[in-house]
Amino acid sequence: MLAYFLKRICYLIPILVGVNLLVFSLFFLVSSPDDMARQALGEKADRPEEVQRWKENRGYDLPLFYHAEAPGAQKITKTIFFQKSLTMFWGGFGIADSTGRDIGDEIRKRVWPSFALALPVFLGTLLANIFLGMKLAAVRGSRTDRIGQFLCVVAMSISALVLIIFGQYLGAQQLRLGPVSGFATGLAMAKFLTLPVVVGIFSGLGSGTRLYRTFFLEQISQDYVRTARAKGLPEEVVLFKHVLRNALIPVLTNIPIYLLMLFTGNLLLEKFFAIPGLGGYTIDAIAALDFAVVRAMVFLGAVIYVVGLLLADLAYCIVDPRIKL
Amino acid sequence: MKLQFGKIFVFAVLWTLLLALLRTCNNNPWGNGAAAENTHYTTFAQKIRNLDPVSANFIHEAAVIDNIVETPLAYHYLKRPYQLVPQMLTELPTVIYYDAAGNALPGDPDATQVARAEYTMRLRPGILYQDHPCFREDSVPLVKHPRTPADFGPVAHREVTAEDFLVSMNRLCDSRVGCAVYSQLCGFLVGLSECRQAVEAEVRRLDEERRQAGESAVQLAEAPSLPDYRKIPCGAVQVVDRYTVKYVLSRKYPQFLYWLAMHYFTPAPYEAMVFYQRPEVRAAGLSLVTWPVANGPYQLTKCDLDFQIVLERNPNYHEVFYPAEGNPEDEGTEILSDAGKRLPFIDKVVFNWEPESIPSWMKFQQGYYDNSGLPPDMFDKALSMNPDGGDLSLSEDMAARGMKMATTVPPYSYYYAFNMRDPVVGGMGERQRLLRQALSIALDTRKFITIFRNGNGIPAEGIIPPGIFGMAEPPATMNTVINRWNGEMSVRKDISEAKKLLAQAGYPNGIDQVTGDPLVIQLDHAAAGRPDFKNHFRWLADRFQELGVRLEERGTDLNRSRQRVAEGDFQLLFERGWVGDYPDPENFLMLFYSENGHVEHHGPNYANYVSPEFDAVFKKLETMDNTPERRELIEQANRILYEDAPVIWDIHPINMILTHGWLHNYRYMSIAFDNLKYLRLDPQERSRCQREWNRPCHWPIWMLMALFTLAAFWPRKQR
Repeated sequence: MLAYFLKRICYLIPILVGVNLLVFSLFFLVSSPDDMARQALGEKADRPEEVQRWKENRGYDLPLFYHAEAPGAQKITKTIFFQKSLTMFWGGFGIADSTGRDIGDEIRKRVWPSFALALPVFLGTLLANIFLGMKLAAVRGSRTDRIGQFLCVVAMSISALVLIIFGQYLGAQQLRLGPVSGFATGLAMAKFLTLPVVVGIFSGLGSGTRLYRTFFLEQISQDYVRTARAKGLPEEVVLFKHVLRNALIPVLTNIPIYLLMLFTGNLLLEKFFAIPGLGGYTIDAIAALDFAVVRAMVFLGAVIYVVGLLLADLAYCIVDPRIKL
Repeated sequence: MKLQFGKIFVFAVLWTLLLALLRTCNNNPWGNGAAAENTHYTTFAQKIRNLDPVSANFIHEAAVIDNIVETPLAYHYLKRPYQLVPQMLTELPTVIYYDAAGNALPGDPDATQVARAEYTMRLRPGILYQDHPCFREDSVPLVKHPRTPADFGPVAHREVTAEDFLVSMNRLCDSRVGCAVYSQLCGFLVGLSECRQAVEAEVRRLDEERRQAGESAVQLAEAPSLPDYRKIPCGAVQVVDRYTVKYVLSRKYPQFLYWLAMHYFTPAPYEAMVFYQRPEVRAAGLSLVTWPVANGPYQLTKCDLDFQIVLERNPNYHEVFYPAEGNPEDEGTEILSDAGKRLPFIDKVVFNWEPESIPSWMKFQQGYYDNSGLPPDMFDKALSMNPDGGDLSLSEDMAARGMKMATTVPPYSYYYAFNMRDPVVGGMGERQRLLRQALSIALDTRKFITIFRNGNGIPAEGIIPPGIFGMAEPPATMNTVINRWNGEMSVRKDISEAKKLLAQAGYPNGIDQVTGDPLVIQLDHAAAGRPDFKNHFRWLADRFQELGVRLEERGTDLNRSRQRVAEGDFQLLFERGWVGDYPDPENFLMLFYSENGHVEHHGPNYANYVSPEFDAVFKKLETMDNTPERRELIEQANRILYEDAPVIWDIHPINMILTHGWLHNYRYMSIAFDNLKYLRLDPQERSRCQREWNRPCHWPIWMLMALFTLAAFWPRKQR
């Protein structure tokens, strides 16, 4: 397993270089450093000399990939790609182009609100999906199952945005049980996060329950379930001990996606509930053409996703002893 | 039936927990008791990136900065049209003009004679900076991981002196600071480029010294050298004595006084720059960008630019009083009830980040924000149109809750710009001019305002918005080329007039007489993301279609669009807006001055309009005082623009702010944003209203819980 682990870690380096190259190419395919400067300066101040000054101050006056006039190795090192993308591997995330603030500090500051929102949403959604999926699978074909599936389709059809606005209207405006939006640290955080967490869980219920029901149905028709029932085990034990454990592999496959969200934030929830997390940070950076932040966030996302997949692989072994890495 | 003690216990705990939870639940985001404090709660929707008065360049940033800093001059809070009044000065600055030989010119000389202008301003003695550790006379201790400047222990202050204006200007010239208006200032202030060179030379010298002392390139990059801005001479600013500053201009430019009311001209203490240069301060991310040091009515106590900014009363703020007079209609009204009282009234101001308008509006409705803009979706709910006069007023429900509405016509102008370099719509030929006039008549902006903006705007006659000198009420300044007077108001001419003009231009029914091809106009825009764009475009296309002219959209992203405009690669430009920098007609008419042509000179003349006749009139009126002669010249300039129609005049928007009854003295300011010090709150009334409007509603939760309990205990069939 250790060899497998090390091999996967080694894969990480070319993946990250590739992701960096791709992000760099895509970004500068649609936006030039001049565009970035104009965006930052605003329309009234985007005179050519100010644009040039902005680029010089931030190191965007260099060629993208190859500096023909520079001597020796500087042909490569004196380029935007080297100085802005590759140096991230050893020099940290650097400074944001649009705000001049340290990106590492910003990420450290914003990751906790994102995490505080995403973790309960993730756990709540996972537990609710497992519980409801299992319950529907247990009564498959019945009227309850059909009603449940119908409600799932209804829930899937409602956009998250509508759910958020409705949730705010109901929870904060009509019932007046929680604030419409905002954030606080410490214990007061619970007051602000309850409503977005409930909305977040609810918005993932439709698709999740249907998906998990399918996983459980596959297992319920297996011989070992029939045997367990024949032994006279209570239905709860059959479902939540035997069926659940065997259905965990496809469940685990989904988890790295959620894991990524734990750190990179949920854009819609954060924006509508004014939670200063990482979701808005990336989107703001894209809107402001802040390449330094965009490449840092994509880099971070890629690392988390690859590590998440690796952890999922390791978890397979724990869940199913037949799997060997 | 067997009693299920376990289940009963679980549900008993659940009911108890719910009871306890619901007792603490409410929708108050600020906590109990906050409403009774003298704290003003408001919002910011766009991310604030910069609070440095020298380099911040956006209006939403000015809304915070203008209340932290103080400028030599300010706009009178109540009087409209806007009037400048001394704020840090004993009186308005005095000006002396000099000719090329250095002789003083008496009176108000012609701009062509003036080679230099000197503005002398005398500071009020005793104006103090806010408390800050940078002013401590003993050495500031080393603090590990500081979060705010307050973490450095005791604070001190000092008096604002004339030298601080020199420091501010030298820092503005430092290219590393990134002042966006530097190029504009070079257009009228003497010696700024030399000053920039001197600053750069000093930085190079300091860098070299540090290199020789063994510091690496990385260390130099991490802590850039700080030149002593006090010792670098600057041609534009002369320190006469402790309280007297002289600004030197390279030409006659009376609008310079308006610049003295902008935050770029606030004084800056050199001690603050030295303080923010400390390694641990830099490492903690503290800088003038996030923690400005100034002498305004409020000082920063919390600065989380992504979430919340808190200002608190500056205890050192000098004596400033609420104005004793306003507009004639203000006499005897509540807005003058605080006349003569010392400012500011409010102790604390909390700016909260609210990126979405609907949650922000809900909180305003609940009384948790004291003021709010009006989201377009809420227009019908919040306002009702007076059936007689067409005026907008608050809905009965909102008025009954004590809410008030403040409106203003800000100095903003919207227009659709023709590209005057385009062979079809551009140029000064008769054919093109008639075509532009015909297309201008076809777009009836009064109808547009009714359909798309709920009547919230004024159809533009020309570029100068109402309330600015030279723009009288129609019919006096009516654009007679496209409008007619119906006895009550200026309305668009009939479409048949446009058809006639189009035929005279050689496009009868929209067909080019020469080629026989239908006339197609391309509309360049970067507005595809705007939710109302499709309908807006459809409306424009339909209006042009009435003439037989086809309008095609040429959409792109903002940067591509700017690139096309910079290269002159467009025909008709979708809804451009110009936000006036200061309330002077020159700031609007200059949009058509040939030397501001966007393609040739990168100026704001986006239509690339070139008219020697207009230029001559503009140059005459540019530097004049607001006299009847200037008014006549403005009318002359307007008439030239009306005839040439380089743009289709669109609208002057009306801005609205809703306030609760407990917020007093609110007057909309759209040029400067230093209005917080004038506001007064009634916290007791706010507290009462919040309690009354936000009583939690528990019964649906109890019903759900009861249903859940019932379902859990409902006897089930056993298989």
